[in-house]
Amino acid sequence: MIPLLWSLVALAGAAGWAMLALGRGETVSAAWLILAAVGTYLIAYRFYSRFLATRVFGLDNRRATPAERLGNGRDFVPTSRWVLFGHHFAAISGAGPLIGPVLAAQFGYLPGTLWIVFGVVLAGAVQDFTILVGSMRRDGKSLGQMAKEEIGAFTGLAAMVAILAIMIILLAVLALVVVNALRDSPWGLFTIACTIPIAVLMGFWMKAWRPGRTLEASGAGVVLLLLALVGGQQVAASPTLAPLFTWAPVTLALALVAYGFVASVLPVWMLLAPRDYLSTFMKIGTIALLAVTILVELPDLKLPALTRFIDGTGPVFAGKLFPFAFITIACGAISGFHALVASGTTPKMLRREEDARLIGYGGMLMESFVAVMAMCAAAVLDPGVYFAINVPLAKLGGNAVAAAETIRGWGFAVTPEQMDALARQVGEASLLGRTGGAPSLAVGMATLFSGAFGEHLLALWYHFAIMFEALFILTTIDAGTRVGRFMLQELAGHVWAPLGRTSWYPSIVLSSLLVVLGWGWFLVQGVLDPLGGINSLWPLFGISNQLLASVALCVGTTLIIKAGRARYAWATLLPLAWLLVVTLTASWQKVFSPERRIGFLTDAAALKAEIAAGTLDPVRGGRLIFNDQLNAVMASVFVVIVLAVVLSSLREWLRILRGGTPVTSAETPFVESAYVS
Amino acid sequence: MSRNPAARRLGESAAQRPGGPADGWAQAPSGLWVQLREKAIACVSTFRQVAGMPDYQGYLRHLRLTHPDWPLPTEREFYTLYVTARYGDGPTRCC
Repeated sequence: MIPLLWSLVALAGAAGWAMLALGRGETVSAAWLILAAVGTYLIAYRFYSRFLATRVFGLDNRRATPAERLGNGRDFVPTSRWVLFGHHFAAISGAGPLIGPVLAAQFGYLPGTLWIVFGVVLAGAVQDFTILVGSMRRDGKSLGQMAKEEIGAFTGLAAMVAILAIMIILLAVLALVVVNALRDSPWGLFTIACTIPIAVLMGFWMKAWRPGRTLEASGAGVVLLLLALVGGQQVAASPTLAPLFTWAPVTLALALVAYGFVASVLPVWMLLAPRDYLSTFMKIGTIALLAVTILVELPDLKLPALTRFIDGTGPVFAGKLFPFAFITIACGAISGFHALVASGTTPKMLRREEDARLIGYGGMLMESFVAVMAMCAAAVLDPGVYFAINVPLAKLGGNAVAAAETIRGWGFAVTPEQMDALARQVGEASLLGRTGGAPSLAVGMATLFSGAFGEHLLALWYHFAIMFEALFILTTIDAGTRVGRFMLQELAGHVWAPLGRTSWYPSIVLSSLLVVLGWGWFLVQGVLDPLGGINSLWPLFGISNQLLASVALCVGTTLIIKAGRARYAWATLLPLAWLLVVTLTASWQKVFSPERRIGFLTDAAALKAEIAAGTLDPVRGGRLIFNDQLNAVMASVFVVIVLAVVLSSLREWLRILRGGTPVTSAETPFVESAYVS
Repeated sequence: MSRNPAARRLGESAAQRPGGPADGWAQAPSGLWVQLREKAIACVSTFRQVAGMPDYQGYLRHLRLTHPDWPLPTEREFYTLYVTARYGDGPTRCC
């Protein structure tokens, strides 16, 4: 009976893939996409994750987890597996899996979907699961500590520098997404601005007025948030208020930098904790709503399975399908950042060893499903509308008529009237050239929601979706700046001890300032970039995130080999090899490609020529050249760090496999669990 | 474990607060009301854990079980100390 059931699941998944692959020339229902993805997830979870759990890691419920052995009622707490699943999922999912697929939709929905689904099953979920198990077996140690103890001090330091650098790029690119979504949008800006006083109010509520009344405060927070959403419409319609909330991109960018600094210096309970709380529930609620809407509506995918832009001429971002589809979709398929969460709070809360399978592998499958839904939301848009929103205005020709002409030249139909009507419907002045993925995702989500709940609410749903994305991006900016600050303080503490004291105010201010200036620089650079900063920053973010995943997989492989299971090391070595091929190719192309839109150095050379010819202002040109060179240096630094980590890991593996020296591992010895027996 | 030195100090001071907030629950009217209230508290606990917030009720349970002689912090003290500690170590949220 059971084998029959699994055969049916496999058949259903295969039918989904067949319909997606063969259904050329006509629209395909999203049902096939969902069926293909979910069928693959179920099979992978049932068989592959079980193989990993039993053979590769040897999970054993008789072995006490850190939560049981070290339980302190605070961070080490044995937690019910479904509650922990919710917690882990909320911690790993953010804007990444929503935005990457939307950008990669320029290749059509098929390549992105294939990478999201097969990438997660064979790479992303394996990485999360491996690191979670490794950390669980080492009292919840962080990725950096494991790199240091299991591979070497140099690797630990390299991992730490890599994490800090990636954090800077991540924060810059996410802030850029918010800037692009909120520029010249009084409604959006008003709603997002309101989230700050709302969070502070909740902070005082939970800390001072009615301590512990979290649900009460969150309920009030959600109601106020929805009021701010409705109020935003009035603000946008008011001739006196609207100009106050209509900000230029550069102003917004500077405001975000200032916000990041203040938020990182304020006490946690005042802003970060309540905002985190609010955005967690908004995130889970909205994602659940999106899933139900897609399943009920089963919309048609209007985007083709493949577009002509797989040849590298894509207007949303430059570069061919290989390697750039795999760089653009980082989170959702594999995300190195998850290794930080999987070696953070989650391993300290596992009640039993075998729960790690549901939480590590299953949690990442869930995140991948979010990415599939984002792909659906992008694919339900008319392709013409998709490109009108996601391509920088300069590339579209500067105005609506030229944009329609340009897009028609690419083979997709859109009229200026259609774009005007859509912008009016969603309550924006214009949707043309709103790059960054968030606006087109919001239009897609609003189309889906209003299809289910009524057309006249399109504007509200659009701004709801924008608020939903901006809310947790701001949370990431707040939390990320703070984490960056801690890491910088730790590094600086090696140079001069007082700088390492995390509660010393001058050190807090100095290190916070350095972190916000770091990501602020890349943010402003992205805002001023004539090609649209997404074109240069998103690939840089993708590369850095995938390279962090490579570091995590090196650590994971080391753990597997040290546990005496080297014959199963292919489980992490295969995804590692693939990631190295993808990221090294992409980094090489981003730095050295002779094509100006891809290669940073070629663009710098071309800018120099323009200055020499007198067609470009030397001051502005000089700045653009510096930015190109900086980006090239960043990409090179990532590559050097990762190659160093890979080589030092390789040396360690060979040393162990040759068997000459004794293997030292920081794995905690077996202690019998009280839960079993 | 925690970067917040105050968090470590809390458990070490001698008992000086009789009963703590746990007494409040014992005085509530019995029957259905109590059951509903317990359900609501469990529900809040679940939500807090999903959001990764330190859970006060869970901490009280832990203290009563493992250190019955330690003082129970008030909800306000607990919140101030451990919310800060929770954001002290490494990334809590992803991209």
